[in-house]
Amino acid sequence: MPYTFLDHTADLGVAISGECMEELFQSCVDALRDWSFSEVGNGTLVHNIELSAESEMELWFKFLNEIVFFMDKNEAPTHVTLKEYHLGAVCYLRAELTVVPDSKRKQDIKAFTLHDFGFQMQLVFDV
Amino acid sequence: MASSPLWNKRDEYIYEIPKGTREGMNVPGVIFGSEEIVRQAESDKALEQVINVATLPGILNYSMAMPDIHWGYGFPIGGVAAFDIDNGVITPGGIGFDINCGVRLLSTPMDEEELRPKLLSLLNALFMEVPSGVGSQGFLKLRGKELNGVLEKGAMWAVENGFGYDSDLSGIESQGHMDGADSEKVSSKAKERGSDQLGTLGSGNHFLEVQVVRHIYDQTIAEQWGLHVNQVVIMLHTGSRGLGHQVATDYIDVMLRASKKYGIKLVDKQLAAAPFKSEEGQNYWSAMQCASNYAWANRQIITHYVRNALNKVFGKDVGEQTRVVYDVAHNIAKVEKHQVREGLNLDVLVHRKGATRSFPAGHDALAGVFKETGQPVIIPGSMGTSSYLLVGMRKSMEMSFGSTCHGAGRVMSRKEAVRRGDYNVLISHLNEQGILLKSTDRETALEEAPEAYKNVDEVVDVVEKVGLNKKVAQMCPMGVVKG
Repeated sequence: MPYTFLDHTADLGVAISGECMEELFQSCVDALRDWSFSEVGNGTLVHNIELSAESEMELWFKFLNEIVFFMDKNEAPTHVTLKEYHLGAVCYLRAELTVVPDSKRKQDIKAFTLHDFGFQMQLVFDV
Repeated sequence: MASSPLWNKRDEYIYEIPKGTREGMNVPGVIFGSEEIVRQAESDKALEQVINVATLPGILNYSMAMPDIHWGYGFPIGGVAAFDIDNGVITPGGIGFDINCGVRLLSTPMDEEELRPKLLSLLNALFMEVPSGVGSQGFLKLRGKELNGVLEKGAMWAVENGFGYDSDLSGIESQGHMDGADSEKVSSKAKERGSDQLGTLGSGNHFLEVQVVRHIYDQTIAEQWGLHVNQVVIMLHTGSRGLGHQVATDYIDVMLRASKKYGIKLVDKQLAAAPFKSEEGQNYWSAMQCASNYAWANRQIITHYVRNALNKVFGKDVGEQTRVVYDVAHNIAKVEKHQVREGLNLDVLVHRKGATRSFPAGHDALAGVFKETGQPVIIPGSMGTSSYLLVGMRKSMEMSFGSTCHGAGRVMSRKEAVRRGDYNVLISHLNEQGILLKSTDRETALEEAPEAYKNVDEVVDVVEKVGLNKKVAQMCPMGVVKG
């Protein structure tokens, strides 16, 4: 399993792993979907996501909160394709996020919270 | 005598983390609690968070935590800190994601004996009338000017649009609205999340609970607040839903950049902050007030739905005779006048993160009967345990910037609560106590089981013994609606 749910007193912690950056992103998508949705419907929708930030952490913060925003509309994330990922003075990400609309949620994730991480990450979500 | 490297016992139920414990602390930390509570907090990073908050610029007197302290985001849950409005900061980490998550208490004209035969019907009616659960959508779909009206007027918008009475507003902290709310400071994404969630309970620890007043500790005040033994009351707990979370998310991003811009040294990025008087600080302040107003409107609209449910089950008069006892905010920042030290009264920015305002009798911000008695403080227990109604006391102004605890406080992660729990055992345990549960999801019910929380009796005893509050009434649950 590329992710593990962690104990956190009030929120939800997730440790994710992957062989490359795209796998890390996909692990996040899988964890979020599996935690939040009891039923994934039919039909797909693709969201083009383009984000820039001053640090890698901020970039992830923005990306994960984009997913949370779509999940709040009952769109279950299923797949992410990383088109561009640059780190530097300006960090930049372009990706396609595939979601399944009208899916049924079992748990609310309301926001991704800031947390320190490396290539193997621990994420904390407000639930 | 130092019992640990981190803290000293300063007084009965007051523990101090000295200013020099960590580099960069501007003030000491203070935890109101028993030794057991403080040790528990030490085990889950909450004490570290008290220390982190003490490093923020412009913090005044103490970084404080109430006895319901536990690990939160940035601040601990139960954290309180006041900042100089000229030299201090504002931080979303001191307010939380669910801005103005709060509790409202309604008093019905019914006693337990009259209501109990129809308790199940009432829970079913509440379940039908008040949308709850994950992703619940409300009966209202608001956009543009209407939604902006909610954001800028709060509970007043709800009353003007037929959800309740003018008299409800006097029973709400700040009369259910904050004046500095500018809806233009709220992103379109936040507005989209909030457009169909008004009048919904949500999920997680949010609930509607039918309770009975089991014990009165202060007869005079209880009478002034319209309460008596055996009376049925209804408590509701919810906040600003997806809108508030999106406001927090949007502005954390702004605050990260602002922290760099203004040279604020952060020991924890979750405390990203901006000077209160900066453009970024003022924009967040305004957006936070919008989210607070949304939350008050949400609880006001739910109050209207609760009245509808009572009318359907018991007849029209019952809903109309159901009054707002009080409504308190748990996650909020406010500018208030406080005595910072002997002879120095200042307007300060008080952050309350999982904490409640607790103003005493005579305070200028209170009106009507509350000016005479002091402010009601509503402390929900966990499902299956007592809740309390307290009154603010003068010592809270002297010791905690007019603040107190907000609930029992978690001791167990949601995951562990589900792992350890058994839904059938939970239900039979509740039924043995005469408590009915109506829940959208078994797992959510297990997450909120009484075992996952501290003993609320102990939490309330601490704030009473310290002198922040005095007990007025104890309420016991009869029926619980969980999102």
